[in-house]
Amino acid sequence: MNKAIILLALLAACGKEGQGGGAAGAGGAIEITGEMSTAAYRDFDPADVARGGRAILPLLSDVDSFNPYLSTSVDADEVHGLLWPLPLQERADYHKGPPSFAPRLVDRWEVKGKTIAMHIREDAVWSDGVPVTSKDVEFSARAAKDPDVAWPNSSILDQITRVEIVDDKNYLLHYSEEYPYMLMDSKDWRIIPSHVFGKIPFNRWKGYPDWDKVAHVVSGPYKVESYKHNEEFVLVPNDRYWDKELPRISRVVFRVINSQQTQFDALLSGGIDAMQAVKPKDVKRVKARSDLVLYTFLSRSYGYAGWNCEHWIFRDPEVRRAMTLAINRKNIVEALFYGYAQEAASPIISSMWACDRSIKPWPFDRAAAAKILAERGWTKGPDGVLVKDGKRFEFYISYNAGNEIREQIVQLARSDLREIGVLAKPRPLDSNVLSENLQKGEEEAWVWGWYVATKVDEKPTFHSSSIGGFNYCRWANPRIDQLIDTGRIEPDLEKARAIWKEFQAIFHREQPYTILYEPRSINVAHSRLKNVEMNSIDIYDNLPEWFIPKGLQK
Amino acid sequence: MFAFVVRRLAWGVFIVFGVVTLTFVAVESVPGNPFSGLQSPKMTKEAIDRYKASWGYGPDKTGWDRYKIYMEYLAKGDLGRSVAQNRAVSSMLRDAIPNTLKLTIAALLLDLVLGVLLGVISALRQHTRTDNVLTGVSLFLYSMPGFWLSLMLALVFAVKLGWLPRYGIHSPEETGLLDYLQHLILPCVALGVAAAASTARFQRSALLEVIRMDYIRTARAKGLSERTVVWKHAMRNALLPTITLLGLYLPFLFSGAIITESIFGWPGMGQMTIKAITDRDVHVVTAVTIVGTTMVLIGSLVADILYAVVDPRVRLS
Amino acid sequence: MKAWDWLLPGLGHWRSGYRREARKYFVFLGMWLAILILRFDRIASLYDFGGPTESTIALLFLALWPLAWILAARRGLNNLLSATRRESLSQWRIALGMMRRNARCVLGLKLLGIAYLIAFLCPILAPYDPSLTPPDTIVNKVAAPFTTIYVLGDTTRGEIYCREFRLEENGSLFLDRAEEFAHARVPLEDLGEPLGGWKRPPTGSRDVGGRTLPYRAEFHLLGTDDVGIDLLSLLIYGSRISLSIGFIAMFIAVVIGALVGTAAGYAGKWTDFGLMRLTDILMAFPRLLLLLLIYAAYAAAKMDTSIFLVVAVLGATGWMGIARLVRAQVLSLKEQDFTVAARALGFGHWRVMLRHLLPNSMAPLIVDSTLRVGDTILTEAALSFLGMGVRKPTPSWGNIVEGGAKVLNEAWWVATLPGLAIVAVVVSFNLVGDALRDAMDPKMRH
Repeated sequence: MNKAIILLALLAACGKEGQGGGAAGAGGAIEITGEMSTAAYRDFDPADVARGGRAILPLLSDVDSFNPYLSTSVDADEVHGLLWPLPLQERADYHKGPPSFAPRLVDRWEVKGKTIAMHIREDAVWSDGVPVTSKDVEFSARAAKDPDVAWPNSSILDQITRVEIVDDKNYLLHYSEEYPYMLMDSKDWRIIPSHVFGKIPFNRWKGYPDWDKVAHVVSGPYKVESYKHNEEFVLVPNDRYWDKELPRISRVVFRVINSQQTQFDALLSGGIDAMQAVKPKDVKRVKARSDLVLYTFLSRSYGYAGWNCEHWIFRDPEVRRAMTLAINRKNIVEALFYGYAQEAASPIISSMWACDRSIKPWPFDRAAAAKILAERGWTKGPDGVLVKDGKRFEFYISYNAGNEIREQIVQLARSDLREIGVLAKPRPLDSNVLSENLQKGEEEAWVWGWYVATKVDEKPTFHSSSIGGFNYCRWANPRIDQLIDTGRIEPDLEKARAIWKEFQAIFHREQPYTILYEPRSINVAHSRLKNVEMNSIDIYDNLPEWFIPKGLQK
Repeated sequence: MFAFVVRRLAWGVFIVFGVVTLTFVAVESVPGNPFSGLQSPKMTKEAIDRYKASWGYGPDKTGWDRYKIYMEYLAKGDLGRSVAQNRAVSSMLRDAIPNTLKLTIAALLLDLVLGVLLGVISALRQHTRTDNVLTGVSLFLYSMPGFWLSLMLALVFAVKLGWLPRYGIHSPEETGLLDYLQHLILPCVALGVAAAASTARFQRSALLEVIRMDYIRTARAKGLSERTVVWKHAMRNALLPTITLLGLYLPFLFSGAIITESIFGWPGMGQMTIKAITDRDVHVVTAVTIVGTTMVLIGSLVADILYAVVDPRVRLS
Repeated sequence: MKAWDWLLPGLGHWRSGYRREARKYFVFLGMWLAILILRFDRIASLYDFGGPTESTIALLFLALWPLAWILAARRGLNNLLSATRRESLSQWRIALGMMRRNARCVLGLKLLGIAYLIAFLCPILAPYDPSLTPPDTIVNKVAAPFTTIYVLGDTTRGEIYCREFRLEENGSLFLDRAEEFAHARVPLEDLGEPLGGWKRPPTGSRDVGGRTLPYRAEFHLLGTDDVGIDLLSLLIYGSRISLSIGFIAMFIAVVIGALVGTAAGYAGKWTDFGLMRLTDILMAFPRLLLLLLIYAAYAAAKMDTSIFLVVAVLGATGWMGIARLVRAQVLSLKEQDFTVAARALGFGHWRVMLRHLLPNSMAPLIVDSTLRVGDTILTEAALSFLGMGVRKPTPSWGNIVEGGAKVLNEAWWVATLPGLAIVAVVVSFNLVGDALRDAMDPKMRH
């Protein structure tokens, strides 16, 4: 008993750590922000650029495979980017129009009707000395489309009918039709060495255990020096990389740290040098440190509350609009994201060129929501829940269990809706169950989010043909279908903008989703790492250009 | 004895087979599939379906087909492949089991040493203040939710005082034995202390029962010192129940403490189990079940044998 | 004995000289009156607060509780005053007597009494309704114990929340909203009566810059959780789950276990073999795994109340030990004379099992069950903590700790306090169970 009292006294005396209003102390962390990418932060003298040093970066889970066509994890893909660069790299400049491309493996390209001619750079060579040729490209395309390999991203190559080898460095991509994203589809699959990967037949790829031994033949700035399963692997510079000035950091260690919290503790204690996806509530602790730099930008994603448009209550778009009016989105953004998110009104994210930024989110107006429902024949029942034709306004709102933020969003939304007499019953589900149910149309309402591609294509999410697929809300609006069909292949930018503008106007009126927020991606790096620029396309895109000044190298 | 062991082992195989089948059926009949990680916006439904088919989850394949395939794997001694992690289950176990063992063996040692000591002291000093305090403390510990004890230890020693690390099995820099011990202390204490409380209670009543026995009175009457009476005569018999129960700790050793591991981020069997169930990763779940069940059976067999060896009155049937 | 001796519980005892007994009744009377007087306004509008079921139960309890004491006082007084004392040597009477003399057991019973009192009267006792999250989350979340949150009225925006407010030099009011980026400044003229009226009436006012600003002070004795709900109210409502589920689940487990054990022990041969092997297989299954799998199965199906689910799962996985216990008892009782006699008299198998064997195996069963309730409460808390038991918004001590684990760094009280409540309740059950076991054990009688 006495022990317990002492314990309690100790706890009381320790005060309130991190409780309210913690100021980012003078001399605290700098925050570099931006929209699609962080601004360039050049706090160094160009003469200080040096090679050498070691950087330790965390991974939430081990790379699931060192074969890019067998891997499904996003983390692994970021690492693969340092080993096998893409033919072209998208630039994060999609706010004025579709993104532009920077050369990587391919240094010249030309789009001619239904064909794209690409030229591989002359100095592109595999790390074992064999030059990178079109044979590798053709092999990679075959791997991407092979049914035994079953690459989940294989639909990127659906329109590519043939890879024609012109000569060692030139090849032609033949498409089945012309469409605005031909170039994007030409470069989203990695080029792997046919003379190494080709030794194993495709139907034996899935069971092959030693892909990490194969991963030392690369074309990118780094290659794998050592790999300790589920612990860490070390990347060292590939001396055959075409840019002789890069990479600068000579040891990049990727450590597997399974918990986000442990990663954060390691960041603060110096165990790792950078971290992605820092939680908004932890930003305060980062800002109190002067040796860390915050890099934030608008993430390519949004969170929403979805309504099943075939449901007897949510069939009516005005009812859905009332739901939006009744949920206090500002409170959600403020309380859960500490300012690192913004309200939004459209499934086309605000940094995208096609977004109609003149559409403002519906205000938080409980009275208006109540009025709409009253007009629709809903009256207050004995216990405060709205009733119409003897049926109560109650439904299940599902979300994926284990996600803190979503759980809190559901609590807040539930409370907001209860104020106008709507009974939302939270139901946490495992995400695979949730997606199965959504595809089958068995959910009434749910809270989830989408990552969006740099292609503006709302077909999978809102086209009536995608009902049973990713059109979870089962919205079937013929005008919307038309707009999507024309908008996704419209080559003229202004015409496309006009089409998507109309799409968004209808979306705003009918609210098949209540868009809740657009989060910011919060990343931190130690101030020792210089020349860091993070963008929403590929966070480690400019990693080869990072450097550590001579005096600070370890 | 030999026949007894053989019969139990044979029966054990049957039980394991039954349990594996039940697990498989349970995981398969629950809605959900192991493919929740496929979240990239570039993946179309058709491509994902093809990927699922390549793992045996295509529309033409039923759970029964997957069960047959799994039985084939088992027959070859292969524990199958994890879909969610994209690797062989045996290699996952090879990573997870040693971590779990490190924790559970340490906790078991703490449990036995602390528990027996406290139980004996308590029994010898029955009706004194010491006994009352110890019994009270052990009641308190015994009534605590395990997850709460873990959280409180983490709160006091890791979060507030900062003396010990909060998560994981070692620091990212992997700095050796001291670092490893620092990470071990909190989860080990969380697991061991609560178990020690219940061992202490058990040990105390066992020793109290033995002390009342006639042969102890005889030993005292013979004029032997209290010390000899207790340590040479009483303890031997009083420790028996605890020792024979050792076998029953075996399953715990391997299955780990699911909750404690997840609170402390300890990368062992417990974490793997939770993740596998959530992911519907059926091969991993059945592998974990096989390990757990086998350990339960071996453990109870060992316990029964020890009991028979140690107490000649017991006949193994 | 006059009528008012027992109508006012304790009066009769006092007048007859049984002071200690009288004090007990006076304490209860005092508690009842205190609740009635201090919470009168809540009781008057009870149906506006929270769910109708809880309100009805609370009112019923409030009405029946004094009735129970009146009857108990009457009976007790009669027993004490009448010359003839009931001589009863039944096992149960002796046990009860021993328990009453055991100080620890009495303490446990008192704690349990208070806990159940709180559970029954939850809508009357809880300061706030825990199913409503406050509208301004960032101000209300993770408030420390003893924090007061002020609600001011803005004539253009309605009620606004803050931790503290003060006048600034430029004449506007500075509102401390817990996080630096969220702090607000409001022109003083805007403040007064909130747009749309006060949700609950203001409790005080302060003179600021020459104006009198009314506010509502919301005091949180134990602080708030990660979405801003008052922790004390959560704990009070959470007690319902822990206290009822423990019992009901244990009851289900006992019923199943007793039936299986009796059938196995009595029928013997193939029934025994089959049932016991089934029990073996289920016992061999790593327990948490079994619970998780059963739960995953039901949770994925469209079941409405998760509470039924948790109770069913706990009951369905706890009966194995009881079955073994009962079987052992039945096996030994089967050969005894009274069983043989019953069969000889021509009683059917079922009758013998249920009316002869089972009641006589009750003693160890009762002890085991009481000790098991504590274990069941702990398991329910663990399940809720993992997210697989009772889910929010229904508060359970386990799921409150789950929320607390997420904010352990910022708000230690959210995880700590529910745990203490669980410990108190489980310790009480264990004390009572231990006392019961000692009371039933013939070797312990001295």
